[in-house]
Amino acid sequence: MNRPEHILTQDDSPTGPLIVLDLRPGAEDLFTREGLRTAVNRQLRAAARPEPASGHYRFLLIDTPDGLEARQSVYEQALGYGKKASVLALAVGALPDPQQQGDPRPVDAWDPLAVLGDEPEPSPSSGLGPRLTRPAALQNQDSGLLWVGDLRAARIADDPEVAADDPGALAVLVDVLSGLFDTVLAALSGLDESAAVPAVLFLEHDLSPAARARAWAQALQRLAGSADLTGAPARPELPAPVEALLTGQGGDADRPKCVPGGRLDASSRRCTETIAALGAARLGLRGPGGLLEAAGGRRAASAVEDAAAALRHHRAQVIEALQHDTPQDAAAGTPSGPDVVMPEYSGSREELRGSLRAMAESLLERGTALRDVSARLVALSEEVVPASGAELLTEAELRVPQERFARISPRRPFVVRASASGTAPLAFGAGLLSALAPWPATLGALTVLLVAVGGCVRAGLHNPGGVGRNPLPAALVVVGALVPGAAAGALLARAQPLPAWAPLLGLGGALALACLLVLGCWREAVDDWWRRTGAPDAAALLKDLDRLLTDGARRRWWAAEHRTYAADLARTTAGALRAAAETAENFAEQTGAPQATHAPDDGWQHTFTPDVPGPVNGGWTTGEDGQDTDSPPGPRWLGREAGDGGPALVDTLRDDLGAAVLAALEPHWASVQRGQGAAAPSATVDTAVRGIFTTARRHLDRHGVIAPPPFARRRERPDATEALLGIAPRRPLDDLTDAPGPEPVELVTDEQSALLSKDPSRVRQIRFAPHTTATRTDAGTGAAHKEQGATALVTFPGRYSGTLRLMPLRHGVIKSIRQYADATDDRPDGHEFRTEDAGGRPRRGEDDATPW
Amino acid sequence: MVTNHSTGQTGPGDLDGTPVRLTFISPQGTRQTVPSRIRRERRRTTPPPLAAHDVLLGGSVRAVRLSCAAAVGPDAEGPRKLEAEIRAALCLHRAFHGSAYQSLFPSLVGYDMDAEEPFVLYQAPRGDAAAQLSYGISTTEQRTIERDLVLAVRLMEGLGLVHRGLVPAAVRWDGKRAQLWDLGAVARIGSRRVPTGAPPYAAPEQRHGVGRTDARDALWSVAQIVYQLATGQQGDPEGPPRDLASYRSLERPLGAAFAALAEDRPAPAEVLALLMPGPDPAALVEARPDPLQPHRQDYDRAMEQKRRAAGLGPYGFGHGVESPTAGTARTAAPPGEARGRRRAWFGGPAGGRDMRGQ
Repeated sequence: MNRPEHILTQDDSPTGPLIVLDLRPGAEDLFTREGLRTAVNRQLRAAARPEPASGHYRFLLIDTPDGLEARQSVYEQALGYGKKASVLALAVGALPDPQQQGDPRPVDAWDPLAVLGDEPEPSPSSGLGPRLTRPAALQNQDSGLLWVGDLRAARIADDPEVAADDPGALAVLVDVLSGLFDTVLAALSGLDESAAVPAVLFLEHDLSPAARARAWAQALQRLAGSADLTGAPARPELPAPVEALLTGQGGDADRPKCVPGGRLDASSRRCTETIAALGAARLGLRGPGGLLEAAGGRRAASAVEDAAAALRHHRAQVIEALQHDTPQDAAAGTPSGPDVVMPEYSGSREELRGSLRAMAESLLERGTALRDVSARLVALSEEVVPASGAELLTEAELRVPQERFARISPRRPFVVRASASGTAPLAFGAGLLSALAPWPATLGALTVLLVAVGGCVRAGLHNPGGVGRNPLPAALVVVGALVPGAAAGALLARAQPLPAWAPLLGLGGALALACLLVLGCWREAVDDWWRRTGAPDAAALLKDLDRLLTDGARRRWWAAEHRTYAADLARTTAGALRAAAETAENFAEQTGAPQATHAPDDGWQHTFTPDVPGPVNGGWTTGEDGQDTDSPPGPRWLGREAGDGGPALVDTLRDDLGAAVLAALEPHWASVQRGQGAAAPSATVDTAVRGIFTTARRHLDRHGVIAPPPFARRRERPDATEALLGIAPRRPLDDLTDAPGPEPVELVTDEQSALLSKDPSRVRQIRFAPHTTATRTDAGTGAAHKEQGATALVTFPGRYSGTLRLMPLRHGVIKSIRQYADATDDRPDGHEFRTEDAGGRPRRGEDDATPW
Repeated sequence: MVTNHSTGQTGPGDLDGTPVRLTFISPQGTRQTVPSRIRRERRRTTPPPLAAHDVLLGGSVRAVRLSCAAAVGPDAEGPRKLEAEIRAALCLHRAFHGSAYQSLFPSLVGYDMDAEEPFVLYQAPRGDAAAQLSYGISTTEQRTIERDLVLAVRLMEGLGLVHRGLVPAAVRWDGKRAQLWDLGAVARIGSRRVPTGAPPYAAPEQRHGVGRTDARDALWSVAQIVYQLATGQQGDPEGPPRDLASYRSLERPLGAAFAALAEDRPAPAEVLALLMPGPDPAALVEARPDPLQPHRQDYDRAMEQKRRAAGLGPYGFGHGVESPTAGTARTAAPPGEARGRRRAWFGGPAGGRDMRGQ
């Protein structure tokens, strides 16, 4: 297959990419408009570039001098392509022998003025010297023609035998012309016939192949990052919309609410009611009424029972509700929904996607490794994802365990206690006062004893929870304190005569004290029992349940759809980045063609013999896999400076590769937009990543490290070439100085040089250097050379610096022909044409540039 | 639709696209012969020594045939693995065929251990191996896979079985449900552990071959698989991953399953209760009436009578799946327990109930 080599090169111009078509092998498929469009689209696709928005296409067409005539329809197609097209034709090879051109030469095609100049006769004998026949279309403002007679110019004896169209030398020239396309066209437009022969002197400053391979592998590894991240990933700084997704908008309106009348609301209300009833029941029980009548105890017990049941029911309701996937059942009319109203979420998916994308991109642009970004995204996903039912169930067990509810029960021992410190002095006092009356009225003390002991026993028998304890110990304490008190009272009365009112008053006081004592014991027993029932915790439990519901509802349902979306998006992005990291490592490990992705360890890896996948990209050529290993000696006009890489090299390459990954992620974000599943995009991204890494490597090999690749986000390179290449930046600068040095070499043989115009004022010169050098601000037309035409001083988006001189041809060497198509070009069969000499062409050259 | 691949075929008689007449025993025990075509080998459906081939049964049913090449020696691993595979498949088929849990396991079509090249036939696997999923799995998918895996572990536990070969490659996922393959790695709970499995998917005890198999061995594998799906990296082969706490979705239901020792892990039923609130499905399956129960009892009675008449002790079964020294295990196992196990092994309800019945 002798297919033409079609290359699309990258440049910085806003007018869009440059399409390089090599027509020499035939290019029959480009004769039709469709064929050309196919070729252009193929190149744009391969370079992942859009069609130029301005509709301005730029073509660099490589051809032979013969082909200029034979394929002139291609040139016309190219010139008519898009809204506007600029075409630079590069004809390589010797001019056809005039004797073999059978067409009779019209007389007026020969410019008689030409022979009047001081130039020698162009042709050996008859005045029919070699002529460059070109399509007349190449004459207009937006086109130009360069003729290279011999790329081997200025050879010396021991140079390797190469052809006159040596592909290596041609590639260098094409690279330079690609970079200087607009400048060259502008310079040509100032020349006669828009045609010239280049004279060149270039210096290539690039990395040595070994340094390039090493930097490439290091950059890939740095891009991928370490496979085993130590410790947990850093808590991701959440983008604002995601943060809002987690925290809500704040404010009271933001809280989840139970639907009034719903089951949760009802059970919560019931809990509140029973808890309120608990307080009343306790107050009723504590009073003397509670002591006297049994109903108070029963009421209190049932109140506790009710509250416990209500709380248990409420807990079950809450937990059941939190198991639902949605806060309200979508099916209308079904009573099974958990009846919670969640506040509205006002954000949008686009916002979330945009913020996640911005986060991932800024991390990558800041130089974070792919695996690190991936881990952060996974962590973010874990933060954002709505809680699962299982998670909330576990949490419910932790926060409101069953045991707390089991603790609320009236079936707790009711113990009446009489303490030696609190009750005994009272009993003693009561006994003392009761026995002040003289005998037999002393027996009135028995009433007091009866009241105190009876009260205690009565209290003990009350037993609201049904689990009673023997009240006798308390009664014994009372008796034990009261009887000595009574004895002391009797002794006192006997020893000391008292006023008549004293015994009566004493008895009354003693009765009051006894009642107080009984009531105190009762209250203490009630309080103690109350504590044991766990009723005081009921309110706290209800609060905890409500908090669980609120928290759980928020974590499970609040903006659940959007949170799931954000979490899944973060995860798929993380997965894609992981895959990209693996691809990067894969590329870094391979010295030659990259193999297909090795499958992740699935547990059976060790049992299978490894698959033998083929190379994924046939078009892969790296600097280290073959002919490039020791760079061949270039043409004489090309100096080579190979650096071992500077300190900024790996970082710059890494940034380029990071930009490549970002570019490869484009389809991922787009597919997420369309809502595809998770698996498909990751495969797409993987393919895209492989493709773009291959492109990146090809760019590195072809254009060097100085030219930013097409996908680079930062078009600026570090200002020091030395930092990238490790070569002192002095050399490219030197190339731009006007110091006398080696002269550019005309790319023609000695015989062919006779066809060149010798008028120095018509020569155009372009000096260029990589735009990383400090002269970039001087870009523009420099001062005219002393005896030459204008010198343009420009920056070059690649690895070359040097001088390109455009030497015009003598008058009459160029012949324009025009094609007349019988049918329109749109018709595929429409290229029956005849050519004729464009004798009446405008003599533009004579009008403006002839010196006399 | 039927295309014949003449390359890569190993099936006997598959010459020039002539259909093979495949004879096998159906799970119901009937012998069937179906014209079929054995197609090319299917990689990564089962680990060696078994090999998988696509099979087109009767021109329409897509199936996969797991077979082992002819045994090299009496101790060759292939036939034993295939036998274990068929046993487990039959057991699972009898327990879950027709139930909602059927899709969790390969659907058995038939088997033949007496063929020149013994084989087992399953319906074609669903979906892709979960190994591919670690490049971006959605949270919903992760939860479903997690639930399905724990459910499968629990269901197998209910039958007295444990899957010792749970790795991402053995788990297939079709977007809706998971499916567990490599039944050749299924063992009886309580059998002696032999060193097997790859880190980190196999629990440390299982890799070192200490102690006896436990249903919670499989829970470790499930935890490791889900960890890898969620984080994209492999877990720690010796214990809980260091960054477990930062993965909320993993930590809550499965966090304790990363414990290095089986007894420190929660029971599968406990985890399942969190993932799938409601009645324990394995208990429900166990509670189904066993249609073979009267026949089993008759058999047991007859055996007891014969043994008593012959003056032997009570009969015990202890056939290990992988253990060639099953004879010694037979006497070691308590008779009641062994009987229960045998029932569980052959598809009946698990041992506990029967033991109470004795």
